[in-house]
Amino acid sequence: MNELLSLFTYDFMQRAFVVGLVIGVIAPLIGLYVVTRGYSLMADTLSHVALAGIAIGTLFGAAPIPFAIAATVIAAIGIERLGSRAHIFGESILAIFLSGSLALAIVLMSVQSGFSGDLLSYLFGSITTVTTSDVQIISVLGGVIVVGVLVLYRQLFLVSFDPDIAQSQGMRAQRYELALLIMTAVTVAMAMRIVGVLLIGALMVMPTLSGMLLGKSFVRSHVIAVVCSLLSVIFGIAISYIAETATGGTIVLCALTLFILSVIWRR
Amino acid sequence: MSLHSQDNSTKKPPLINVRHLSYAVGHQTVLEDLSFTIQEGDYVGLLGPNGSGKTTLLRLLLGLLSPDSGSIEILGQSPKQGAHKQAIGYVPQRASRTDWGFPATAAEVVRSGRTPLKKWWQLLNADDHEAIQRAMDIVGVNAFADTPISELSGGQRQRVFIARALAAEPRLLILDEPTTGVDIAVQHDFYAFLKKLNTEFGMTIVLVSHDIDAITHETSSVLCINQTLVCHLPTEEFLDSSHLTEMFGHHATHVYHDHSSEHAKQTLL
Repeated sequence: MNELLSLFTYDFMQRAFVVGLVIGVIAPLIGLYVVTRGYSLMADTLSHVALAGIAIGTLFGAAPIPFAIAATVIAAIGIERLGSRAHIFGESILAIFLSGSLALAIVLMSVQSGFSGDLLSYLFGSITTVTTSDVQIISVLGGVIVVGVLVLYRQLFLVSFDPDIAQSQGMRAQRYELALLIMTAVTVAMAMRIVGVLLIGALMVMPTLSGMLLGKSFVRSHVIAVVCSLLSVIFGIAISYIAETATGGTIVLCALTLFILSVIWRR
Repeated sequence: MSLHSQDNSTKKPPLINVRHLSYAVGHQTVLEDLSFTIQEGDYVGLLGPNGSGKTTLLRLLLGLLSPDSGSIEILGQSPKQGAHKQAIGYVPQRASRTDWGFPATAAEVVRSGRTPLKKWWQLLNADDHEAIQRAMDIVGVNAFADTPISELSGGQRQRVFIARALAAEPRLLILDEPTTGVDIAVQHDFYAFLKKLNTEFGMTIVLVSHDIDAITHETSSVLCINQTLVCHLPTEEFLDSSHLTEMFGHHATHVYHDHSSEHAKQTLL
C-alpha cells in the first residue's frame, strides 16, 4: 500500500494520473456515440492521423499534442466532406486516411534520427513522458468536451439514434455530426498520450460496450461507461506502476476485464 | 383532450399540396408529374406496388430530398422552409436503419421527439414535458416507459415511435408500413388506435402500406401512385373502380370480396 501511495510522490505520476482521469472521462463519453454511430474504424483511423501529426510536429521541433490535435481535426473534417461528396465506397475512405497517414508518419520518422524510440512510446502510450503543457491542454480541451456533450446531449442523442428524423424536422443534423467528429478527433489525439495509437479504439469502445450492456437507458449507459473507464485507468496505472508493465496495455486489459464481467453479470 | 385547438376557418390551404412533382435518380424516373392534395383531418391510404415511388415521395414530403421539378407545399410552405417542418410526424418503417441495439428507453425515445423544436441551448420546459406526457398517454406507452427499446415487442416499439412523432404535436402523421412484423392480433388494436387518433383527436393520417386489405378497411380515401398519380378517391369509390385490378391484378379484387381469406392476402403479397 505504501508503495502504491509513493506513486503520487513523483511529479510524472501525478501528471499521468490527471491526464489519465481526463481521458478516462471523455473517451467513453464520446465512445458511446462512436459505437452507436458505427464510427469505431473512424477512431482507429484518426489515431493513425494523430501519429502523422506528431511526426510533423517533431520535424519542426514543436510540442506533439497540438500538432496531433490539429491533424486529427483537419482529417475528421476532410473525411466528413469527402464522404458526403466524393463517391468513394463506404469505409474505403477511412482505409485511405489510415494507411496514408501511417505511411506518412513512418517516412517522416525515418528521416529523423533517434525518433524510433519515441515511435514506440506513441504506438503504445507512455505516461512517463507527459509534460506539464500536455496536462494543461488535455485538461482544458477535456473540460470543453465534457461541457459540449452535456449541452448538446439531446441533439447528439437524436442525431445518433435517427439522423433522418433529425434532418426532416429541421435540425441541422450535419452540424451536430461535425461537432461529434471534431470532439472524437480531439479525444483520440489526446488519448494517444496515455494508451498509444494502437489502443485508443479499445479505450473508447470497451467501457462503452460495458455501459450499453448494463445501462439499458442512454443516460445510464453514459454513466456506467465513464465509471468502467475511470476504474480501468486508475487500476491500470496503479497495476502498471507496481508490476512495471506497459501502462496503455494494462489499462485496456482492465477495461477488457470489466467488459467480460459485464457480460457475465448480464447473464 | 385535443392535440390542437380546432380552427374553424374554411379557407385554410390544404395541409399538403403537391403540384406536378417529378423526381429522377440519374436517368431513372421515380416520380413523374404527380399532383394531389391532402386536407386537414383526412385519413389517407398511400398505395402503390413495389418500386412505385412511395418511399421517394415520403422523403420528398419530409424535405430529405428536393424535387427535380414541380412543388410541394405543407400548409402553404415548402418542406425545406423552417416553420412547418415540424408539421409532419413521421413513423419510419421498423426495418429502417435505426439500430435496436441502441441503448435507449421508450421514454428517452419519446422525449427525443421534442428535440427538433428546441434550440441547442434551450432546456425542455413545462410545455414540452406536458406534450411528451400527453403523447405517452394517448398512445399508451407509460407501462413500458422505462424499458429499453431493444426489449420491446414489435407492436410496443411501433407505439413508442408514434408517441415520439406525436410529442412534437404534428398536424399530420405519416406511417410507413407500420405493421410489418407485427402480430395480426396486435395489428387489429393498432388500426383501431389509428382510427381513434383520426376521429377523436382530428389527426390527419397518411398510412403507407402495400397491405390493400388494411388500407381499404381503415382509410377514408386512397391515394394510389405508380410513378405518377393513378387515382385519389374516397375509399368506397376506389373499391368500385377498376384501379385496384389494374394495379395489383385480379387477386386484389378477390381479397376485397373475401375479407376472411387470409390465404388470398398472403398469395397477393
